[in-house]
Amino acid sequence: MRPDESVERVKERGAGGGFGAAPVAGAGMPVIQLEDVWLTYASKRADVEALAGISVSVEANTFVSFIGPTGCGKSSLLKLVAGLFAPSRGSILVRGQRVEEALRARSFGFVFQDATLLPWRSVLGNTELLLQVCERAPAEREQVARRFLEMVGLGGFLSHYPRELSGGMKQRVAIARALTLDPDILLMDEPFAALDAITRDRLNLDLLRIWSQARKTVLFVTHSIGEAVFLSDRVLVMSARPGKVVADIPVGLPRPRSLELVESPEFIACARQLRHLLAEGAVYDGSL
Amino acid sequence: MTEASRRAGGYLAPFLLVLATIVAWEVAVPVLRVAPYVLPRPSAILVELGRSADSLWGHTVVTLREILLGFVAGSAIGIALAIVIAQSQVLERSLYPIIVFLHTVPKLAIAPLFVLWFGYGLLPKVILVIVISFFPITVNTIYGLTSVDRNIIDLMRSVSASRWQILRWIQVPNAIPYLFAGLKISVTLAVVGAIIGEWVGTDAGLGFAILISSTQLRTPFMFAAITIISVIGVVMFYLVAVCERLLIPWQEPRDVTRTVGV
Repeated sequence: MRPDESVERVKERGAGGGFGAAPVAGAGMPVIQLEDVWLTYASKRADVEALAGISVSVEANTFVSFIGPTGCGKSSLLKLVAGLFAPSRGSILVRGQRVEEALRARSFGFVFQDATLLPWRSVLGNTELLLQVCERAPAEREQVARRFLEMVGLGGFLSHYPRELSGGMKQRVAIARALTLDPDILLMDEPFAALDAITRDRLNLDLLRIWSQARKTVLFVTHSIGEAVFLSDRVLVMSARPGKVVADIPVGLPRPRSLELVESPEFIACARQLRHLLAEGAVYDGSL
Repeated sequence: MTEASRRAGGYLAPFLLVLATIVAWEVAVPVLRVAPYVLPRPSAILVELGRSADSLWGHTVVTLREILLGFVAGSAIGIALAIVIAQSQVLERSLYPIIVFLHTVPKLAIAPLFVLWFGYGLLPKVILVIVISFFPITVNTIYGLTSVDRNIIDLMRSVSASRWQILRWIQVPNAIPYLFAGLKISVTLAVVGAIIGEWVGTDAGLGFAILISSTQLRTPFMFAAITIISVIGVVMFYLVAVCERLLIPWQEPRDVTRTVGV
């Protein structure tokens, strides 16, 4: 059958290409383990193969980006990891346990491309939402929400409504909301894709600052090569549909990172490598 | 132009239009020699409103009670039905056709049936108002409950939120603007429902008054009753619109004529 054949090809590619080795930093049990994950869903015309044999393991407290063309199943991958739906095949383990366990332990914080704030709630109210779900006391809710809103720089906008905020500010609220339950794993689905370049740079810097304060495992989906290199410890390059991981690139740039880094030869070399891989990934898919 | 004078100008234009129409009507009836029993002049209607005030008031109270009871009960039923249907696709698929069927049955055709079942009193009218007014509320509310951003639901599920929590904090607030769109349509239908109910069998109410006055060629009285019915409809519509404004402060303030859709 075709599926098995594709797996072989991915494996071949991973070995032959010479960039498949997973980074050894932070030995111990990986936080997230995907084993040969497939996702097929039924659409009107035919079954659509979204993901084809993804095997990835992510060490604790690392920042991992997924980059790839539109429709390669990156967003689906995040929702699979969070257990929002089940893979057609393969297994996903979080801290060695089934996803359902992690879901019950509230291990995941989600940030989407659209801030998905509730228009009828103030900034503070939106940030308290998940704490409310967990039935925390009102005083504690407010205290926690305030703390994270201050962390994302919105301490002065507690009673504003979403329609009064800029796109960047809305995403800051979404990030604060995702952090309120102190999840181990932050799942970010193109969170800054809709923002202008200047706002995006600033949010990238702030995200790294927040991440250094509250160390978490981050899975970050993006279309932007620069963003992926700037933020990540590791970048996974995906091919067009059906999505496969075609390369696994460690980013060895020193931390803390500042915007000047973008002009360094190491950064440029890494970005160039990714650009080539993305172009290759597209050709690779076309040859199937 | 200042904001205040611009707003005043916004109200002035429709007022002048209504006034001009009434004046034109007043002048046209004698000029075109229209018989008063065919089309009375606005002034004659006004005189009739004053002369028959007692009798008209009695009819108004009866009709108003039917409308209010029916509308409140219809809204409650409509909302409850929407919440039930929004819970699952199976429920939606099984209940929706029945509701659409109930809505498409001509109300005038089933009104006599209600008289047969529930007699000549208040009840058959209230039931007719319920049947005619719940549908837009149900359809709109279902849409509001189910048109929630997929990602928000996923966000809630990612922290193991219960169905009840999602309904209460996400779906219901999301449905409120849609609910009000439905209420605005329903409130005008409720007026129609009460009048139809009265035509089929009763001895009081504005619908009854219209029916009787038409057989007696008391056209000014008929127009007086029609005027009251229209005023009830318009006032109730704007009351709903005011409630909407008060209950949905998070929506962008819009031009009143656009909110209200007149």
